Amino acid sequence: MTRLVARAVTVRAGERALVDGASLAVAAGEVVALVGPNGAGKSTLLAALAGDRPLDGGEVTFDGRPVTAMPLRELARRRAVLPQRPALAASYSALEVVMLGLVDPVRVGGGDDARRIAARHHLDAVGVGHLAGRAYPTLSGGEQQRVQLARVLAQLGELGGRVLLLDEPTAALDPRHQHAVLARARRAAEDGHAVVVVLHDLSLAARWADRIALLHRGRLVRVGSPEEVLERSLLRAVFEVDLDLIPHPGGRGLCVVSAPLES
Amino acid sequence: MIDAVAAAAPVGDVRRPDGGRALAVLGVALAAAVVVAAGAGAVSIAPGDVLAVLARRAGLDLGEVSARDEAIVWSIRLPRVVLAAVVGASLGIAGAALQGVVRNPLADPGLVGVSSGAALGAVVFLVLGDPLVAAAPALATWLLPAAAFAGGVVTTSIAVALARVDGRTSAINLILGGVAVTAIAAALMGLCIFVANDAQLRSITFWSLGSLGAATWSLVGVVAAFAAIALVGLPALAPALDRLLLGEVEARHLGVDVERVSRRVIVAGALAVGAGVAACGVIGFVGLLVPHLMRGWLGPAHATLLPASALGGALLLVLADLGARTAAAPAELPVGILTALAGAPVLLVLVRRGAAREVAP
Repeated sequence: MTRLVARAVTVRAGERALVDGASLAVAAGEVVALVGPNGAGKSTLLAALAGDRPLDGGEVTFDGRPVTAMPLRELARRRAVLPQRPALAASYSALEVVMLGLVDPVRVGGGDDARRIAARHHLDAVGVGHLAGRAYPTLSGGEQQRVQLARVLAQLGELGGRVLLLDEPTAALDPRHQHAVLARARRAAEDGHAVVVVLHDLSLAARWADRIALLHRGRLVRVGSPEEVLERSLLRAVFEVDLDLIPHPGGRGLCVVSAPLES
Repeated sequence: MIDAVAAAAPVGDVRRPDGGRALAVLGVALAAAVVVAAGAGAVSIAPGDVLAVLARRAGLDLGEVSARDEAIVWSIRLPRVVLAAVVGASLGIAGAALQGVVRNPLADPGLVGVSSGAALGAVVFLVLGDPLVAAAPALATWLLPAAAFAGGVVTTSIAVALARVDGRTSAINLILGGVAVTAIAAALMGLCIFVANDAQLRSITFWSLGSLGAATWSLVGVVAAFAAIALVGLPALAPALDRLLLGEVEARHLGVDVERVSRRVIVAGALAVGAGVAACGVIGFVGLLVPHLMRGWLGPAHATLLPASALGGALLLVLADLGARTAAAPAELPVGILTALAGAPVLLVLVRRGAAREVAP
């Protein structure tokens, strides 16, 4: 079932098109990685998918309904967004941050204890249950990112059928946690959510995404399986580096090795 | 903001007192302060006698009190003490909510222009409002607070709008915007005073002395009616204000209509602060000092922080007014001097800690 559909989405800043006619359909159970060079429009497209900004053309729908027509509260029950640089200086504990994500009182129950237990469960699920009582500003960047991921997963709740948008969720993480976070995103897809994740690391995209959407100067130049999109000449043209693709020794995915172009 | 808990225990768990118990403690302290303040003064009246007066008013008999003491407590002191409590509660809760909405601990009603706008509204009314009073004499007590409210909404909206850049509220712009609108308000007040006639000048001077001394039960009623909107309405915004601490975009993702929340906070804050300013002039720093202390003690969650700031503000202003009228008796200090002496150092500490650089509290 196609959960999230973007049709010819265009977002402009003045005369310049940040996203230019992007079309993308993401099914429930699918992980789509959004890749592209800096400034290609990845975060802008993600914000458009989230319903954060008015579109200058095209439309975004969840289950057939345009996001721009949805009230904010309904939108909050249908999609969750992990921001790129989560900034929060208030001295909430990690647990309290996750509790802020529990937007649907019907599902969680009104009681504070039920909310605490639900939030703790989501912290455990991303492996940071031991940080529950710590003040958020005292956590490391990687720990903060995982706490925010737990908050976003808490917003999705236990039922499937929602849209999960992650903007560079692996940016502050070591390799082990990069895989752990993407495995968690993968599991969210298996729960029936449609997942879009912005990634810089093409090897991670090849390993964890069902499909890759390659964005270049605001246009989606190719959308398809990792094998279809990660093509040497295409990537060289888009990223302007020399790239080599090596099958992962472990048997699954590709290693993408880059070097500066000889000029 | 680095609060006291995080600073003291950088790697330990966050420990917080129970919110309900903390509110109960503040409530009891406020009640005790009201009784003590109502008994203190040139004629000293024992707390038991104050309680007896209150009980008699409620239809209970707790013992005999002389008619003189009853008149002093009920007609002279209590209106003033209750007015202090209502105005203090308004300043405290308005400060806490404003700080939540702009995610900055520097957002004091006095600093972001609510108070100066309200003062301008009040002065404009005192100079130009005579035809209105003549037309509707019954509404005269309500018109001054309404004018102050209007002034407060306008200046605060301007300051907050100036401070917002790309969906974020810049602290430095907020302070500069507050300075700018305060300067404009001061200039316009000067203009009003310049064109005022002698009678108007007298009422402006009387009002701008900024004392709680003009308190009567009917004035308390008017101010409380305005304050009630903030005291009842703002706590309902607690979940939204909590989520706003994550950031404006993040709060939106969680279903918070950021524009609507900030509009409501500004209107409710200006109502409460405007009525207070209309009644007793500009009293600074309560809205800065009290939420700061409460946040350090109870944490950032607004469900507790907002009522705690209201109770704490009431307690502070009742005690400050008690100090103001007893410290140099029989002379009376302006209460704003005491709150500024207590609050301004806190502003310095916050700036020193770098709160002015960050957008989040």
